[in-house]
Amino acid sequence: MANPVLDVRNLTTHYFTRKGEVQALDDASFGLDKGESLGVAGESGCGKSTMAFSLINQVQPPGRVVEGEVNIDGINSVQLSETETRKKVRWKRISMVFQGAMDILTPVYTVGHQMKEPLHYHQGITGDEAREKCEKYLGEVGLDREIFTRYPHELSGGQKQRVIIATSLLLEPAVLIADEPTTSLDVVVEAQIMNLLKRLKKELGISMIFITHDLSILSEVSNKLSIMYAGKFAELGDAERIYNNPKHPYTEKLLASIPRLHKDVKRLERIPGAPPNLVDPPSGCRFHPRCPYAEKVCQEEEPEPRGVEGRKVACHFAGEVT
Amino acid sequence: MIRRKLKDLIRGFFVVFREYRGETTGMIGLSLIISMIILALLAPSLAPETNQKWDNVDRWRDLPGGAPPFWMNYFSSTSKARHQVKNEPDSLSSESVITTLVYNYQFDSDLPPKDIIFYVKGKYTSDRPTLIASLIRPGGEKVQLATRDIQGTEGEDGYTFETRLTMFGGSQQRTKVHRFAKEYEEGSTPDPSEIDVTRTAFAKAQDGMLSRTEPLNGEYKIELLLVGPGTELTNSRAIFTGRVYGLMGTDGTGHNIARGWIWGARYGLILGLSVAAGTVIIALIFGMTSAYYGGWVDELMQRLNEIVMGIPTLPILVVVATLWGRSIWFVIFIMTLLYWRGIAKTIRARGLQIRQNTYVEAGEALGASGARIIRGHMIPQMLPYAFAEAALMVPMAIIAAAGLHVLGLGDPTVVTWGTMLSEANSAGATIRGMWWWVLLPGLGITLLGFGFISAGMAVERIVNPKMKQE
Amino acid sequence: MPARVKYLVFRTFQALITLGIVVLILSSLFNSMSEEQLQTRIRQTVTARVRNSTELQQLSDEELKEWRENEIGKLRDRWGLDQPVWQRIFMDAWDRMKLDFGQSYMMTAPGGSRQVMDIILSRLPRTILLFTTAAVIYVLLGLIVGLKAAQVAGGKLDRFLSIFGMTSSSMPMWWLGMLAILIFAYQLGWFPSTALPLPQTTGLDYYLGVLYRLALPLGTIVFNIFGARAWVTRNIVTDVLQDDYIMAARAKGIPERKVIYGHTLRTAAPPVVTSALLSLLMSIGGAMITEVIFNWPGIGLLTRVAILQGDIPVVMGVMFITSAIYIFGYLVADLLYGLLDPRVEVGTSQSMR
Repeated sequence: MANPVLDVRNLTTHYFTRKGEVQALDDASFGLDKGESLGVAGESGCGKSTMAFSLINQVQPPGRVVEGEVNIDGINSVQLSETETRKKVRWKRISMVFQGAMDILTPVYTVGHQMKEPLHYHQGITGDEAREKCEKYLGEVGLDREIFTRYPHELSGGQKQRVIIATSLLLEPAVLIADEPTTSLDVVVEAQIMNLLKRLKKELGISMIFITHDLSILSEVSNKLSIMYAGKFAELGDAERIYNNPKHPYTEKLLASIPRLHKDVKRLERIPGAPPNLVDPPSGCRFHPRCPYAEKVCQEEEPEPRGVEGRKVACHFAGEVT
Repeated sequence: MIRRKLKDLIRGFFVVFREYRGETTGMIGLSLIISMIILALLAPSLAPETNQKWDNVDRWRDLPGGAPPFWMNYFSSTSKARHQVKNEPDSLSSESVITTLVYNYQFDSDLPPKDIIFYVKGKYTSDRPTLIASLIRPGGEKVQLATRDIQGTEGEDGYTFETRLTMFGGSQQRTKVHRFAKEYEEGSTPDPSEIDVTRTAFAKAQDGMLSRTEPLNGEYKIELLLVGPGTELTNSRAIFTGRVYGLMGTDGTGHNIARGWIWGARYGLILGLSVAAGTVIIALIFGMTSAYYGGWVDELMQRLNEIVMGIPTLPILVVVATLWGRSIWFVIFIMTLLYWRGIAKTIRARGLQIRQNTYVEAGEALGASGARIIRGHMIPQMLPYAFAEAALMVPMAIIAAAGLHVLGLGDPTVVTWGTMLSEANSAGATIRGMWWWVLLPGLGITLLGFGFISAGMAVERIVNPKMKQE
Repeated sequence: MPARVKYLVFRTFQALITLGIVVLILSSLFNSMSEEQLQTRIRQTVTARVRNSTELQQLSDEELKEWRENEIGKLRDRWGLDQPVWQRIFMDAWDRMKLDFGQSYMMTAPGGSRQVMDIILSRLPRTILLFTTAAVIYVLLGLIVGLKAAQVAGGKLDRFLSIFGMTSSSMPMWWLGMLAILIFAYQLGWFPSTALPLPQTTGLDYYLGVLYRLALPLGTIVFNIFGARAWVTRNIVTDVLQDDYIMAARAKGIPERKVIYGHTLRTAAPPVVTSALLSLLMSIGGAMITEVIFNWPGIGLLTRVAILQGDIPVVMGVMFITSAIYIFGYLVADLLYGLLDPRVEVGTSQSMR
């Protein structure tokens, strides 16, 4: 990793609620090279989306990035003021494709109006020039040009998701974050969107962060993989290796809980217990209450990520138990 | 069956209430409502004869007109005499044909009473007696003020009489006080009609006694002479009408505002709660039927609802009151007939959701009739919503009804906050600075309204979590 | 587009039906009552004629009686008392729909006309002046304050607004007017306590004089309503602000100003505008009574005077005009919603409240 596009160090984000400080993201570090793609997986509530929004420094209040660096294209977005982040980071360096279940398009504006906005405010491109550019990208994602003048409620879920993908490409950002882009879309549309993303990655050489709770789709789109548990990285490294030979007990359990095409699995496992409350996370390793291999040290000491077989594993017994 | 349902209902109520206790404004609202209800229930015993005799001038003539509440003394640099009633004279002596009554009055405020009123009861055999009232000032000066020839009614043994005498009331008394004070004036003297009689009578005997009065504190004696052969006194009472009066003062005609206020709470609640209850019942029936049957029934009922939505309330109220009479029951009737529309809409929307619930379907499968399903399953679930909406209805109804009074269309047989405010407006209370007459009745409307609005909103926040803040 | 036109036609038709029903209600109330009054009036008229005519007084008793009966019959025909009640109700309603309100009993317009319509028209502009000026101010003020409160949900302004909104809307508007007179006219002496008499000057002086008299009623209406308006705006905007497209718009790096005044406000516009219009209609009654308090010579004060003098045709006329304004205002609010929200193809009332 000579000169990574994205270099994240010790990124920590907490939510300051009335019930206490929710440690939603704790000490996340990773790098991303040009053209590389990172898959982020974990149960819901493990801090995946928080990480995505921390990267563009747009955590919803009462949340705040409390520590860490996000170096992207030579600038540290965490240190920038709100205005500067807006001008230099959001959409320009990092753009985002949101969860498919969300209402991402403002209902009272036409698709065109909303697509042109980033061009207008970042590059000062307006009018016909902007329209041409938007229509070009609409074509790129396989949509008809006349979508430009339509209102969001006239589009299907898949079409809306394509619109937002097209919009996310407009400024040719260094990194594209796709946060569960296919949730709530039906299977056929899901496959279409995934193929579209794969194609765009290949054709445009864009770096991607792909967030999902569905591990099965990650192996296809990402070459790096990180497994998150309770706001922390459990395992981070080459996707293929993690997928075939998990080293963290949580990864192992998580993989065992999903159906897989290439392996013959007799039955699907369930991880016993529930994810912890992040206001008061368990001591030591956050996974220890649910971990079948847990020992005394797991309760007492927080495991440092250590290199095992070309990846980083945050477990005291990494490589020993699985 | 019914008992179980009742139990469910009560349990549901407690579930809502447990959460309700956490709502601060809701709790404030609830305690306001409860205090008002208690006040309203006690109205006939706390303020008897108020409602029936509001327009009876005699009922209120012993009270000072336009006196601010007594606690104003604590906020003002000039202290004003409070209202005082003495049922017994301080001394009573009889000498041949003259009965002498003396009332002592300790004057220690800056402004004296507005007037002194006597009630004297007794009997005489044949010759009509005369009543003479004099004021004896601390320095011993005696000012004879009022005289009255008593006319009794003939009875079995002689005549009985009950007479009311105002000591400073007439122009005669005014002249007498004026004459007494003029002696001390050095400069020009104002006309008798321009002086404040009691202030002069209770002022230091010095220059300026008629205009720039300085109070002379001390013990005053009021002497009543009942002169006449064979006259016998049975009862007497002196009223020193205050410059301040009671908890809420009096209005221009001497009504005790506090008493009217209590009745205002009673009628406000009667009106508000009747309208709320009536509208909620209509809305529940209408909305649930519409939601339950769906299809063309729903369509038709919704169009009907929209038409009723478009009917303005005030014109109908005004015309009914102008042409048909001003009874508060008419007002309640018309409001109930019109105000259900908004609630019915909410209820229908919620009803459509509940309809999806499995057990309505289950009920249908078991062959329960439409009406029974609505009654048994849907209505209990709707009650909290209905309650929230009804609570918001109360202030609306009270404000509208009070407005009718100001337009001159209030029910003349009841005393409401609107009655008092409209009287205040007609009497020009605002430009005479009688703020208590304006402020307090309106405060009643506001407090009751605030109580219901905050309670309603709290319930709404509980049953409809989407409205919760954050 | 055809759907929209269809809807417009349907709603207008519905509004006319509503108006028709209201007028029928008013007319039937009026007619069932006024028969007796009309009888009395006819008798009085005839008696007055006899008294004023020396010719008639010379007739013999029998001749006079005959003349009187004849004359009463004629007048009864003219007032329509010979027709059945329902017919009179419909005729009356029809006249009203044609904006023919008949003659007043005794009140007159400044020009001396006894036509109810003329009397109302002489007063209406003043009410419109007061009411629309107030509406513009409180709608704008409500919007600005509501938006500010929504931007910092749970903040000081927000919490204050929730209490203020609740309290001010539980106060009768005209009562606030009375308090305003107490404070600003009686205590401080800044403004007149009564709008009458209107200034007798012309030009700029006249307008300043009107403004001077307008200040208190205007302030009263604004103070009474803007809190609740701001609160409603705040709730709608808070809802919108929580929506995903706002977050997405921010992620796009659009200036916050544009997110708030563009995306948020534009999305909130349909319910905000509609509810503003509805609250405007709701406040007509309160505003009319406020006119009474301030002696502002608009139709509110006209109503009060007409009620006191028992001039029923004038009361009826004013109430008809009020109903018509209300019903068509309601229609406009409904149609506006559809116009503002592209999701609603027809402008439906279902999505309101």
